Amino acid sequence: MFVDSRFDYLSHVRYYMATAVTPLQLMANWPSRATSAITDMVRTRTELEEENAELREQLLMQQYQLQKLEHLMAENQRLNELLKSSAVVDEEVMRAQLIGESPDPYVKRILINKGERDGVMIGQPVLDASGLMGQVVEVSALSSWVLLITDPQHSTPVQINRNGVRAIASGTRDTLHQLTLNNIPNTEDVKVGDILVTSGIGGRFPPGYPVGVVSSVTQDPAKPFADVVVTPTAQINRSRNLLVVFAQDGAAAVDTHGEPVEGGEHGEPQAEQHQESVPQTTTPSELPADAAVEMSAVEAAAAAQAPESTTPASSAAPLQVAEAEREEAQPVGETSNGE
Amino acid sequence: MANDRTRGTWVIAVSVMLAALLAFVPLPPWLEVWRPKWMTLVVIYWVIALPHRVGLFSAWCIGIFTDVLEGTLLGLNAFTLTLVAYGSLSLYQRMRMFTPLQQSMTVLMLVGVQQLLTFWVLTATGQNTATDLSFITPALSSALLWPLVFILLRSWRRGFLVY
Repeated sequence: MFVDSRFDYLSHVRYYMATAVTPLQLMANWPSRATSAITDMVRTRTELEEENAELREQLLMQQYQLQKLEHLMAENQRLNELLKSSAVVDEEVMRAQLIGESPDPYVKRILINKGERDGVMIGQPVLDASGLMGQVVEVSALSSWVLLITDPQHSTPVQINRNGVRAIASGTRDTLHQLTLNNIPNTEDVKVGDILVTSGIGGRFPPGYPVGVVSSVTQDPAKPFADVVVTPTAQINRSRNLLVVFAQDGAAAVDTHGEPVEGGEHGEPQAEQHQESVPQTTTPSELPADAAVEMSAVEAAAAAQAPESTTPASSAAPLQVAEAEREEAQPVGETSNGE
Repeated sequence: MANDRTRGTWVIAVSVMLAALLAFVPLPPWLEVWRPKWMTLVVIYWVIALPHRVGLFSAWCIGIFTDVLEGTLLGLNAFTLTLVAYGSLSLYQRMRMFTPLQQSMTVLMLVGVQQLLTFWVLTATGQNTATDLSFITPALSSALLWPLVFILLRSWRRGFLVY
């Protein structure tokens, strides 16, 4: 146990044993597959027709959106070239199917039917049709375990699509599959309905994939930080068809058997996020993380004591500075920034 | 008589496989909290019924198998199942005389100890996220289902004449 948690001597042993039990895991998944197959079989004709019509309509709408998207992508590429920034990396995806999940209700891990034979590596992001699901944490020959973004041990570096505010979305222990944003000051510009996308900080997830929608913001003046609850856009507990992302430059996939949980990345993005609310200080890279956290906590507390009417103004000023900074500093592919 | 010790090993193996399937079958979240520890129940039964054949080493092997199956820390289930097998080994003579209710209470205790050990190990390795007593619910459901498991496995064992 100790050896497994601290070193990776056992990763090969584990790899072969995990490969050996894959058939059993597939078998355990058989009942739920059979049920869905049977429900498919006993559908009525009208139901199918309705669904067909609905899907056609959806297809039409999405093809329309796709036309616009292609135009926007080309334009974005041109603008990036004008700015002489690095080109937006294209990712490839591979389809995978869910074949099992962790029996422990508080460990949000799923098993997919693609393994090392299909080229899956530890650290690869996994998506479903509507958003980010998680990342690969363990690989055997024919299957691999994916740690979901809603696991309490997982944190995802995210960014609000509307204004580019960066944050960390961590999983929670409840069985409802929700995320919380850590250390968001009460004065931060976060609203219900904001869309969060991956920020690309930390290098594990490529930027721009939808993560969730802010479903509630509770600002308690007694606390330094707001409680922000996020509902994932991916259908975390329903999707059976998933996509494994292959980054072409290999930035996202780390081919090690190391500790995959994003915990170690807490420090850096947090510090950057707080510098947005404290832009007058020294250059971002020189400031240690702890100092930034302390400062913004003090500032947030001060802002919380101030009367309601002044709060928006005091938060708006640093934000504008932050916007300006970002336009200089961030070259890569955020299409809907600073509109 | 010479092959008595090896006869019907497949019967034990099949029961362990079935338990593994039950332990891995996806359940709705509200039921998942109550999922009994099938592997532990099977190990307890075989240790009580055939203490001369199923002991600490078999329990350890079954535990490693469970770890790989569920993707938990390698050795976690092996460690806890070995301790459960040790407990059952020292109790088997009494367990055989107990009424079903008394047996269930003993199973509650054994599975409870297993869950507590799991909790400790997870905390020690920094993987624990539980803050309440929710880890005890599988012990309760295991104790409730014990009489059923006991009767089923006993008829299964006697049907194949495994002694």
